[in-house]
Amino acid sequence: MTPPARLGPHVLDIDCAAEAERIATWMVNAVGGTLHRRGVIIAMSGGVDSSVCAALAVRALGTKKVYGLLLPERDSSHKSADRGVLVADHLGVTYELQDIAPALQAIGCYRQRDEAIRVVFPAYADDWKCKIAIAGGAKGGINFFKLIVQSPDGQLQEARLPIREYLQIVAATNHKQRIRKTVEYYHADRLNYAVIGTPNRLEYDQGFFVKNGDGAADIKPIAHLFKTQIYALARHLGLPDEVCNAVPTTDTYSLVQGQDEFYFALPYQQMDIALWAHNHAVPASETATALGITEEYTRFIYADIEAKRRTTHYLHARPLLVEPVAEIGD
Amino acid sequence: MSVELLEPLAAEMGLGLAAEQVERVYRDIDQKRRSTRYLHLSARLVGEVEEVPA
Repeated sequence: MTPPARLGPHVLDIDCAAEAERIATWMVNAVGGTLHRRGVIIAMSGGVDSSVCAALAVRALGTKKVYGLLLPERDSSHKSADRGVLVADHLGVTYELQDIAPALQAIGCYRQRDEAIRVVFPAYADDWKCKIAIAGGAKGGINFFKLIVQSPDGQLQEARLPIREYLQIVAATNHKQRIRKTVEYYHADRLNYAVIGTPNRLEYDQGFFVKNGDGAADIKPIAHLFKTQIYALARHLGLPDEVCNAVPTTDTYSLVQGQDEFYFALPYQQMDIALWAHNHAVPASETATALGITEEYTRFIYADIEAKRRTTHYLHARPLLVEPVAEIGD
Repeated sequence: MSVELLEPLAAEMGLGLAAEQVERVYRDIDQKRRSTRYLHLSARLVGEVEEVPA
């Protein structure tokens, strides 16, 4: 008899019923007990993470104490917004839609981004589309970023992004997450509610969030769960098929950008297993076999996981003080 | 701290405050610390993610 494989998708199996109950119980205590808030605000992107958080919040607190926000802007997908409405209606929560494009326009988000893009593609105009992709590292070199643009006739062009323009584009687009969070806290303040942050474990561990943007929250109910586990919870919680089958995207750039195209080395199904394996000190050779990739590429992924932890450490850090103020607890 | 204990402290402070007023200020400080504690809290997690330092 062959021994059971040590590494595979089964390592991420969870008891969904027990986990949903555990999170719901925790949420009641965190919101009412620790934070002394009356309910929760959830920004509903239409993706699986925010949808599962919303469903867990309803389970914990009931529909009347969950307030949904749909916060589209010029570049976000209509399909995402439609899924957000679908989930809000499905759960029966009160929600409102606020187009944040005027706020982003006023603060300079689109202008600052497009200025940087035009350094690389001078013809880039309002009716073009764009996205950023990562390249290089997987082939043994140093990571660099590519800018991909699409003119109105559908023609795609790409070019390597100089670091200055890359940073300006990212800084400008980070306004999107920060304006969303400002709106969320407006409603949290007026209702005396807590704000839910929706990072999954990959995003939380690897620093895939904007500081004081989507990284800001009072509670993060799924930060300990791998994306694969969140999809399993979505199915267990009976969320619509459109959500359970949605392909994760950043929904930040006007061209569709997969998370594995911009940030992670592999699609989430494989990346979850790679992260689990690295956390459990599984040798690269074994992980390579399980994922159907080379041992060399697995070693690159392990090193990339560590590199991302180091470079994004400051995103998790609270403001540094010269010395602690003893009267203020953690 | 009792009003009796605050009497000499209030006089020493030389702010022209009665012991009752100092007591009220102290209570207000403590009350503000309690009611704003959540502003200092980092996001609550269901469980720690070991690989990310708290």
